[in-house]
Amino acid sequence: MNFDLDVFLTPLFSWVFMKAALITLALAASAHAGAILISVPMALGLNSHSRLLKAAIRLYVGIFRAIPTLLWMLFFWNAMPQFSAVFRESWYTPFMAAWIALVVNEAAYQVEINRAALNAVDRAQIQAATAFGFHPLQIFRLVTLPQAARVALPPTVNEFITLLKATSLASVISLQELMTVTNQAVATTFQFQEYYAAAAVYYLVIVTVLTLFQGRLERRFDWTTERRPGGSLIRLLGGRAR
Amino acid sequence: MAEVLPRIRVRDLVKSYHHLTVLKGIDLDAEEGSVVTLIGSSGSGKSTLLRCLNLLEIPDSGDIVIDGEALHFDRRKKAGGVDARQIRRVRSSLGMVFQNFALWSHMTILENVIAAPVHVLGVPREQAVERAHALLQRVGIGEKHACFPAQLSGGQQQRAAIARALAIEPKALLLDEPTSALDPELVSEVLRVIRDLAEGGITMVLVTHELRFARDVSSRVVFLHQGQIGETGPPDQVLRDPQTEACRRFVRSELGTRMSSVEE
Repeated sequence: MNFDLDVFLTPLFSWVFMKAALITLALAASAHAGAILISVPMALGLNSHSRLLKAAIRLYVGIFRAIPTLLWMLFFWNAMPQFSAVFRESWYTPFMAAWIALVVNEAAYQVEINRAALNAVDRAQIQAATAFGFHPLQIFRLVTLPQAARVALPPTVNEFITLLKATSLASVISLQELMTVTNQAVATTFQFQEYYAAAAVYYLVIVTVLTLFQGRLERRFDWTTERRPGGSLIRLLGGRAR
Repeated sequence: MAEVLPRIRVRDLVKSYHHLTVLKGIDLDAEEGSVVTLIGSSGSGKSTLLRCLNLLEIPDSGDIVIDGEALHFDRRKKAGGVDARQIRRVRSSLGMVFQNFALWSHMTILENVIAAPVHVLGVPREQAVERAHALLQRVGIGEKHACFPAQLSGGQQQRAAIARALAIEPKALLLDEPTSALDPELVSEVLRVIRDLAEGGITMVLVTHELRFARDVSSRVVFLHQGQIGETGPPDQVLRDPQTEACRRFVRSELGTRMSSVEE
């Protein structure tokens, strides 16, 4: 075994790898944001009284959770252009195809997290807001959302970490993300150890930073310790209680 | 001819769930500055009546007039025949205090108190904060404004909830068994605040099992029995000399088993 330290260190400071890591991060973050955005209304739909709506959402979750992310990526990149000319235009890059595949896939997982979080909100506190004449949308923004967000946070960060690693599947559709450039480097140099180790460091750093951020966020969501009223969660979420 | 309406007037109020009629035609008046206390065994309809007043339950039929705002309920119409905006307006004019406090656990005490004035009534924040501090002083927890509800005792939480209800400058305060969820040693501090408010002339409708306290603060006591008003009158009459057998039995059993914790 002859581990070449220089070969290992070069990608850690090379622009090609850094850019690939940024693409990885951007894809995961934007896909998760999109997934959360569509999964919140879906979670509300699951809690609604409409049987048709619930059945439709269940069907969605059933389909998109059962089929592997890899298949979705290949499907959106290779098969969609056969359906419509829209997907043969220049905007439809590997990044877009991977993004759509991850959004529709991840939303199916996030729905259940959101639903559990919404159900964990104390009914009595919602009733109290009702009793004071709050509009239903205000109740959602000021009471339901902040309380549900706290419950949803740890499993959501967990999902994000899974998603971050799932972006590596986009190497099959030639997106220049971290695993793609790693494979390309390996293919020309055959220095497996060094490049794999370098890629591992990138993932490790991203996830570690994220975990630290999660800790900070959770402390912010902790409303059992005394804190100045100024730094409140409502402001964090863009409310106007201050 | 200009009859002065009471602060709250209820006429022939009926509420049922499925086939169970909980309120069978209730008439009730709460004059301005009076304390009307609802008593009765569980299932008598007293909490339902209170929840009907601020429309947490929509009555099937009857009339409610709150400070001149008249609501007529008709079960055949959608939402009882009253629109959502009117419902919210009535709600924001009545301060509700719940048995289990129901403070918003993610907001500090100060935020709890200013939330409804700022978001429902549109009071400027600075003004709401100033008033909130004064109210928290009044209920004796001025120094707790930056705490979260979970950091306070039950008695302190209920006093914060009373401050929250007062912050909207309500036409009347509705209190639903405000001391039932408290440890016995914490009951008196809450009752003291309620007594102070009663003496300050705030109109109140109170549901309670603290009969000795009810005798002290009430202008009128209403005994509910099986969804109807079994007996009503001045506290001394209803609680010391009940006219009906049902009320006599209720008062005797309550006073026999319960020791009121506020007596000075």
